[in-house]
Amino acid sequence: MDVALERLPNAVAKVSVTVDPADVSQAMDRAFKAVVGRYNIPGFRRGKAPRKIFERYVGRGVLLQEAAQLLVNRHFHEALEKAQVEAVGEPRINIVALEEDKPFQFDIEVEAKPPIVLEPFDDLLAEPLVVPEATEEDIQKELQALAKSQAQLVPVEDEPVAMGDHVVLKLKGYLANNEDEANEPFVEDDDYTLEVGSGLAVEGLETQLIGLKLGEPATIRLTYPENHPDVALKGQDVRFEVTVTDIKRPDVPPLDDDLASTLGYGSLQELRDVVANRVQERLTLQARSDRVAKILGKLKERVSFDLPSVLVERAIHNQMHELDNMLRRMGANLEEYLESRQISLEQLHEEMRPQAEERVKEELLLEAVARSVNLTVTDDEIRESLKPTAEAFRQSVDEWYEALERQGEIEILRTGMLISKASDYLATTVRTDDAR
Amino acid sequence: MSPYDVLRRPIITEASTDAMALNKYTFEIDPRANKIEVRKAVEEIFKVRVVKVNTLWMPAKPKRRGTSRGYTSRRKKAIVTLAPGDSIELFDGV
Repeated sequence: MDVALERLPNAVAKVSVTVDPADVSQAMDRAFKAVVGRYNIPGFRRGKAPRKIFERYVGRGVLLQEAAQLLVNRHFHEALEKAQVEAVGEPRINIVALEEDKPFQFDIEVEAKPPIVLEPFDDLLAEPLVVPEATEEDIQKELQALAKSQAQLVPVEDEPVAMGDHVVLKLKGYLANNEDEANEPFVEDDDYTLEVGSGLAVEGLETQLIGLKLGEPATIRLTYPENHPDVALKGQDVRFEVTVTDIKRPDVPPLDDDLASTLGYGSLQELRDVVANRVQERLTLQARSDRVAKILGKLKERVSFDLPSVLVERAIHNQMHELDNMLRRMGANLEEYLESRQISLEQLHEEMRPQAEERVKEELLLEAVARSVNLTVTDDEIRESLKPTAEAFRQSVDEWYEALERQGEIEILRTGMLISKASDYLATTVRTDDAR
Repeated sequence: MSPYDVLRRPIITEASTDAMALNKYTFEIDPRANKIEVRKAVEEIFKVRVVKVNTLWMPAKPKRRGTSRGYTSRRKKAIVTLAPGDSIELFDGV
């Protein structure tokens, strides 16, 4: 089998395959065996007619077609491997020449991962990884947040609303430029809960609540910002009729051993250490991902390649899925989201494209990085990573591995692990001039 | 009778193809033809040497279509054994 590779634009690889005549006649024999039972030839029981009679009666075309199918199936993966093409899309197969006792030629056109060859990029690794020390301020902030999460809400009755209070509102919102009686409120809620100062409500609403007393009706006027996602509201002047029906003030416990013990630690010092570690870990992660992003950004400038649209579409699909999940957690769904933004699914799709393209580009670059520094993922590593899920499904690692292999998931997993290895490599490897 | 009238058509079935492996070729022949005429016809048409001819009658089969009954015509077959080394490039219709 001979293979010739041609790269077409848009990351399409065209692999021309030539198969030996001996293989062709062998395939014809097998094709005949497969096909002969499908035809009823007078004088013979099904499947019993000899080849010669079959060819006279049914024709040779059927055999050739079947043989081509067999040959393509048999040589397809081998050909791609030989041409070093990593196919990602649906292949189109084009049969060029097919005749008995002659070489069989066919072309495979398929979207493939572009062959990225990285120049040495040690210079990009020169800068050491700088992880900032966790400051006292960071740690205190984290501790405060923890204390706040343990706060009890205490009802307040005779004081006005202050920053940080949790309030319940009776609220009606009207568009201000339409003041007649028939004006329907665009929002109406009897139990609108809100944390003042959380920044979750529209800008200006929370600050204007400060100072309101329990049960006292008030009018709040504000303008929705221009960048508000809801098309019907952005830039509009609105009027809210609100009555505060409940005020609860969080009672934040002091930072002491008691707090530590409610959180399950022995002492305040222990809690502090844990928090300090956590902050440090976060800073490290941040520093590493910043470094990777920076290096990838520079690599992107150095090499250019076509992105296979299949991968981009897949990335967009994944993003959609993530968005949908996020919306669902917030109690909405994709349709409502689209409606509030007044865009169609197709528009959202296109909007996600640039980001998805970047993502694909980075993944391909990371794979190239892994290749150029000879990173590999061994089967043992994969098995190791499967342990938790296998246990969760009460299966042995081997069973789980085989199940995934049958679904072709192992290779996807391997690529994923390779990518994270490459990213670790970029995050931690430092090449100084001396080392070179 | 001309040789082409003696031999009507070759018979190609599973059984007859198996027989070909033993150098025996099967024909449907004119009902009036005898073994000697068949031998002469085959030798003349296919330019081969015939060792043996077996003839047999294919019995008529009863057929029915609606209420009308009838029979298919009975036919005569000949199984011709050729001399070793000879063969007939079958079967383009005779």
